[in-house]
Amino acid sequence: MSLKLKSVLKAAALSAGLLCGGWSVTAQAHPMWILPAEFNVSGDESTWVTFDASASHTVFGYDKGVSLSYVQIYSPDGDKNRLRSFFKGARRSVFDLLLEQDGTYKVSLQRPPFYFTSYKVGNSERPKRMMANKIEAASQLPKNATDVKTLMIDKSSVAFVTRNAPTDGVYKPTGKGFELNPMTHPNDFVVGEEVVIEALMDGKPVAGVEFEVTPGGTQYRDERRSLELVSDSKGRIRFTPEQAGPWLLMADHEMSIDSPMADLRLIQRFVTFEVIPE
Amino acid sequence: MKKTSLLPALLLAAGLSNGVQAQNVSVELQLPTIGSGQYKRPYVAVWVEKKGERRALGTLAVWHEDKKWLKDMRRWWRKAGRYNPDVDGVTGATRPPGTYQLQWQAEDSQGKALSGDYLICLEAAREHGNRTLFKQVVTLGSGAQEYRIAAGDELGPVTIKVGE
Repeated sequence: MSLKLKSVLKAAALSAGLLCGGWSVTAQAHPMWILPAEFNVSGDESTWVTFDASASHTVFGYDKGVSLSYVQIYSPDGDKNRLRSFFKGARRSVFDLLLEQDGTYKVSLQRPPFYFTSYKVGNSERPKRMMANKIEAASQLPKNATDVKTLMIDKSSVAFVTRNAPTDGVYKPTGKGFELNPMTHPNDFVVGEEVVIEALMDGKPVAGVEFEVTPGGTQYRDERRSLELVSDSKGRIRFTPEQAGPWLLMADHEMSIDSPMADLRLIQRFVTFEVIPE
Repeated sequence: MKKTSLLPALLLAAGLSNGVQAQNVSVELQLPTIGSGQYKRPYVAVWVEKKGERRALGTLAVWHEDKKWLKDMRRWWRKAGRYNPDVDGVTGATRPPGTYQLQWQAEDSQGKALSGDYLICLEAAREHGNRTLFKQVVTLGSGAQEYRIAAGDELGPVTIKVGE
């Protein structure tokens, strides 16, 4: 496929998303992920775990290194830890974390919100885009622009790692904002066993959140093998993984917001987890 | 345990079991000889699960060296090891190829004889080698039983005998 054709198709997918009022996961910018080399470790001594972080459409293919300035590490006792040694390369970023406590750690990467305005000009059905919030866009938009819509994108990635027995303190819902609550412990996903995850907004279940859950290694197979799921009336999704290895879960939720900066808030969450062989 | 306290404990156990004696379960397993230049003795775990329960009922044996690699016995680690890696009386050093016998009194923590279906699990993981997991459903409380499992990569054939 030529590069030009590829970008046309991408734009077509984007406009289709806009036309039906939704933003499908696949039409969005690069998924951003954090991948630990090990998710479960054992032993009485402190253990180093190494992490890769990148933004890419192939699941766990390295494409764009990401800034690690927003990495936050929560240890099992609830303390925040600072990142120690790290490296940001062109295609991936790398850091190591010393697990000094028993239990489950949370490692997250929250991008500061960014804004994206789309609009149409003349008879063209294809929307144009600019990286601008509503206020900035007002002074930059052509006078005949129509269908103007500004999105605030709230994007974050998370991974959990456990030393010895698992704990749940780092991911218990706080009742504030949008949260994914793994009702199955995130380091306990096993081939052939059902996984349940709950989407919450301010502590209440959210129906209609779109999920795409994909086993890693897409660059070495023809089919993507994504599970496409939508949260039910209890805010839950359920799936039974059949393939061991690292997986990436993406969740998309769009909601209107009352802000001078944007019309809509697009929440994107990326969760990396491992599926353990039986 | 002091000798004087042993007898009442035994009587208590007998009382709680309503006269039904717990069956003895013997597990005979083999560690095969593997002709590989990088051979190191495997890590081995043997344990019991009640079907459908998240956590194991108990561990019969764990043979290991460095606790860092206990997690490589993946199922045992998930079901039992991570909650209590120092299982008293059943942990030991790794063993050379050969035949080994383990015994288990099929009773719960109160000394009550178990009945119904349980899983006897065996797992062996070897550095630079394979990992082998066996799971055998055994029926307790229905008289003597015998089960055989064919050899796998890191474990030879297994014979499980449930006593009368």
